[in-house]
Amino acid sequence: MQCVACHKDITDAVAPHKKGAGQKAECVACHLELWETAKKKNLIKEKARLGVVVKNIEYYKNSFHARPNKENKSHANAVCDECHHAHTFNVPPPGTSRRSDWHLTIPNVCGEKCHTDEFEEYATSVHGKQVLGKRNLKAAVCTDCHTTHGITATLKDAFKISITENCGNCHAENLKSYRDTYHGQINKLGYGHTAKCYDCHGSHGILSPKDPESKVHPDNRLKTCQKCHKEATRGFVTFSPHANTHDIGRYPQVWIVSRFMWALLAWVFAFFWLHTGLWWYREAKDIKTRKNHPDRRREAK
Amino acid sequence: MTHRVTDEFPQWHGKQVRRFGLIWRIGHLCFLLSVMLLILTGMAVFYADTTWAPVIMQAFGGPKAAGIVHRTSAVIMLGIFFLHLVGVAINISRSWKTFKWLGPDSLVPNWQDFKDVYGMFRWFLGKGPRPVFDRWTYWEKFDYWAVFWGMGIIGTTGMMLAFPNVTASIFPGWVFNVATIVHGEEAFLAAVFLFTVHFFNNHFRPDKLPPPDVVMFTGSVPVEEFKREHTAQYNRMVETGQLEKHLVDTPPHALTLGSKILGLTLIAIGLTLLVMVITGFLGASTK
Repeated sequence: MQCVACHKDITDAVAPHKKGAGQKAECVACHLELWETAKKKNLIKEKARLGVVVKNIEYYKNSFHARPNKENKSHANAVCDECHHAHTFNVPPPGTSRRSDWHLTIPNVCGEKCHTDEFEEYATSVHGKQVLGKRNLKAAVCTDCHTTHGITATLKDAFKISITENCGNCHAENLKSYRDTYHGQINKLGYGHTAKCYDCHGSHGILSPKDPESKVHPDNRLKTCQKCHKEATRGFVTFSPHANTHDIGRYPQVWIVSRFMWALLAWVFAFFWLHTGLWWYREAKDIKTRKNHPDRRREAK
Repeated sequence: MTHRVTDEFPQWHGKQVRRFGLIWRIGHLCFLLSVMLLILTGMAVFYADTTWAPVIMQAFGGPKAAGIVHRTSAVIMLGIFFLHLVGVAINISRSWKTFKWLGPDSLVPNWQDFKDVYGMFRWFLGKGPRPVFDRWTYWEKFDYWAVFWGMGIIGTTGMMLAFPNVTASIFPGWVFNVATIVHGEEAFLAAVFLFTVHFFNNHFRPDKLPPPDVVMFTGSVPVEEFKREHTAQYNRMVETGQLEKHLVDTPPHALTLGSKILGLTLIAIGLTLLVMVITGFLGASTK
């Protein structure tokens, strides 16, 4: 690939270049063009990655980053080369150590130039300490929660609904138990007003629940509940928003009650469905034999 | 007996036996409508991950509106239940001295009910005759007391969840966890019981086909059917000359037709709710 393939406005070979009327270097137009060519040549399978790039462009175009900047309307909030290096294009293939190194820099990419406040808070969080301090690849970086190209404004309902799924990609068991509560059920139905992960746990500055500073630490919990439940009383503190029916050690009452209910349901249905089934069988049979009998019950109807 | 009732008592031609008074029928209708609304709005939350749940939620205008419908229906349902208690109390106090708690007019289960259950199973298996019943069969009594149990359990847990600040000022937080499970599971039990067992007993038994049985809307049944379904009561009433007092004219055609249309509509709604609940149950248990 030649420099001028992108820098179409450069027409001479002498430095300093005179800038011509051609199009300035621009990622989107070029990649879309390449994709169109690939489609025409029936190379969609061979150029699968290019397809991903095109899809990401689509996502990006609808994202918050693609919108004009409030202060400088001629510029988007963020363009490709503000996250990706224009010349080295720094996303190494998955599974390599270079990929890991690159992954750990994501908070810096988002936070150093633009989202500085969030980065500062993130650095103190349980996620941030793991990523920045211990190079823990499993801990969340910005994109794990906010997504990458399709990033949207966090005030939108769509984000409020999807964020729980994003947290659940790692915290699967907690997402499952959350879905059993009214908070999680309403969220699943597509409404953002009930408590989501970050409403209780915090977002960028999220801490381990054992940390006395954590919003969900028992000492701070009532205050956290009162953000939504203004009149919340002390019993709120001991509600288990992530209870399950299988952990008798942590949730003994839930374990016992769920088993009682299952047994009740099983016995009631076992008895009455058996009753119903046998009744159906006998009554149908009786009606058949009664057909030739002078006392036909149904005759009187 | 091989002949019809009206062969023996021609004066009962065109008559029916009244089983449910107007107030009780209106009560039943309002009660079932409120229960159906409660099931619809409640199950849309309980089975939030089904494809139908968000559609229902949108139709109600979101969870906040659906919540108001749910609570309003709950107030209506519990209101009817309490009015019923008052009605029962008045009825019993009027006949306080003569009321037999274990007699045929009482809904209190008695020894005969257990014998009838046994007799029915013997009949099912072809080992005996079909038992004959008095005013209330054991399955009718079960339906009646199941509502008491349901009102107590679903009503209490529902109130706890509807007034969390009061609940949490008295009880520890795990009460919410427990109340949520009990409320949902008990509602599941009630819904599936109503739309399978209750529907079968009253509308889908081979003897009752084609549905619906409209006695709960017209209030009365043909003498012939009454004699068949409540033989012991019939015999008792004929012997004591009481039956005549309970005879009414066959309801006008329009009332019967209207009752059938209403009955079929409600059965269709009930079966739709049943399908929705079963889809939710299967979806949740296969995950």
